[in-house]
Amino acid sequence: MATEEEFNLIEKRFEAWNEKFVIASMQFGNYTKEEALEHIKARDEIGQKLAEIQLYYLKKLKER
Amino acid sequence: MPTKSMLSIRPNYEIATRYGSAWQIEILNAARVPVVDLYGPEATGSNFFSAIEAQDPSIVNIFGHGNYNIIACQNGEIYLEGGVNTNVLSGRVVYDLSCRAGRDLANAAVNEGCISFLGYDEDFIFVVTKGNHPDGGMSNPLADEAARGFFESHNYAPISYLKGSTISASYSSSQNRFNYWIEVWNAIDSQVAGLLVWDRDHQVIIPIPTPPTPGGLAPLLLMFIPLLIIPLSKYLKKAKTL
Repeated sequence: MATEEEFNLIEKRFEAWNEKFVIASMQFGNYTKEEALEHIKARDEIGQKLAEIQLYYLKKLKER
Repeated sequence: MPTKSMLSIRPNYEIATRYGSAWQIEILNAARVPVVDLYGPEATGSNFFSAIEAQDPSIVNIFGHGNYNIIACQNGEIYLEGGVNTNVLSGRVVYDLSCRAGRDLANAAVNEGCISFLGYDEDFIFVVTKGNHPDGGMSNPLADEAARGFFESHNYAPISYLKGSTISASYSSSQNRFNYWIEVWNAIDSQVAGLLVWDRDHQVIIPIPTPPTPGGLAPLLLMFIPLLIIPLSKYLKKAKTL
């Protein structure tokens, strides 16, 4: 579960994201930038998942 | 004994399956063995099991929605369930592009005799560029450069195997292609790179290939070591006397 600080960071990343892309998945639905942001702001299950994925990436970057 | 052939199943009924099924064509085009391609409305459970029986394929190439212990085909019909009917994969090599099935279902299949199962133990996520298709994506998924890295990286595994690589090398080939696209997207859009990292790290192959042992020609070469030592010792003796 992402902390409040981590959620804020992910929110900022999504706010800066390219509007022309949609996140699609083979299981948990498809989300435009606006939809992704709504879920992240709501801190719901989808928001958690999106945050988890981006935090995983940031952690990997740090390890490089 | 399965015949050298491939059974492919690729449902197409919404944006994710429309994209995925389109990119699966790369795999079909690489096959040099007979292929049965269950596509769109043909991608049903009954057709899948009939084809398994009739064709007895050595390779099963699966695409479709999934969860930890299930895989679905056209319109979300669940047709494969770990431990229930995954024994049909026994004796076969499986490449699967589905969410999560690389965890429980893959293990059940391998425990029941599946030779190897390459899949994803978490969600397979990708990026689509907004376009004119009614589902919101581009009309031609193969022209979507944002989606390319995700599907191409996966496809490298079955394509590599179809071209003669080992199962282990086919996995490495896919991992390397993910790494290539991660570097590309790191320079363009780190959100996209992040999703590629997620897919790469959740790609699994079961059983995990064992690293090559120092076998091969090594024992044979060891047999010839005395033949090298004898002339060497003679040379050393000669050198001492000088």
